[in-house]
Amino acid sequence: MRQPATRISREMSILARTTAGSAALTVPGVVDLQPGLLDAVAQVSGGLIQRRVPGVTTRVLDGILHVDVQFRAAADHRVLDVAREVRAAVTAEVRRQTGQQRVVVHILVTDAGV
Amino acid sequence: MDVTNEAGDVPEALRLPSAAELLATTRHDRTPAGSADAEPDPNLLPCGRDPEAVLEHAAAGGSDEHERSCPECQALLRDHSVLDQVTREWAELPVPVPDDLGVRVMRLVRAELHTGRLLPLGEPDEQLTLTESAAARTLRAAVDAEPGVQARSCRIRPYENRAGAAVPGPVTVRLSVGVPYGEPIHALADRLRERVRRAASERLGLEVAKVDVDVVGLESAAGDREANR
Repeated sequence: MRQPATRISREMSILARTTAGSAALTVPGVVDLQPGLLDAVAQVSGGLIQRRVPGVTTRVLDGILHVDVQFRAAADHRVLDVAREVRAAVTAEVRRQTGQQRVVVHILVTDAGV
Repeated sequence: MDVTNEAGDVPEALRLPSAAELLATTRHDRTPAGSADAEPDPNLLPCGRDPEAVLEHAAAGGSDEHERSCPECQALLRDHSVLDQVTREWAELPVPVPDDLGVRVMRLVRAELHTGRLLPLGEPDEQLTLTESAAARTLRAAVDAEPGVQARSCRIRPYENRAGAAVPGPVTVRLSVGVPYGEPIHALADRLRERVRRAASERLGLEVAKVDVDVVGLESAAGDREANR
């Protein structure tokens, strides 16, 4: 089995998630963060998973902090442009706030607005 | 309530299933993936790979080129690694686990397998993806804007590398539409193709290589419908 992601401190993980979520929401064209599978699991678990930021997941693999961000884009913005802006904003803010320089941000747009 | 025994192990009755076990229970057979136009097999990833096999290959360090580059396979591995970590943490928590938690989680995992393919956007290594369902909604709206035309379905096939993994590049669109009776179909299909290409480029940032249009219904024109009332 692939080795589980290397643990980062709980505080660092929470800081990265909250920073990423806040940075994403400041980008014009982002409607909201879209909860993913883990967020849905957290919801039905009756509070077993705490301090989650819906739509943002973090993990460390091979010394790199990976941040996954899922969001819905507004209809009056081009999806590709918004996705690029979110990736740039989240990357910069997570690096600044956590001090981690090896950061890779993955973007998933779940709705383009109609 | 402490859910661990003296040895620190989780009792079998309270042990939460791993992502691989959850995915395995959603499988009933091993039918191969169909073509892009066929109904997707709900037991397989949208790219056609068996999720259990993808996890097994990664566990053995034997992922092939497709699995290393396919966004759907990578998303499965990411979810699995995160869920694996969380279930380990759950096992250490001294709190009661809801009786039906496993069932509820399985429902979510099944729903996750029905989100359509992931369409890579932008340039390679940008790590930008859009769900097929979101892109299809936008393209269907563009088609519906053509007077008298109703989009019935819209499938989008991502550009694939030689290993069959979705990578950024021009996508292929297949539309099923109902068109107004009496309208020259070739000219109408060309207009629909143009609408789809423009919407994909201007609204999504996707390049379209080909738009196949299936006319699956003839609608009476609006004027005729009014006259028949």
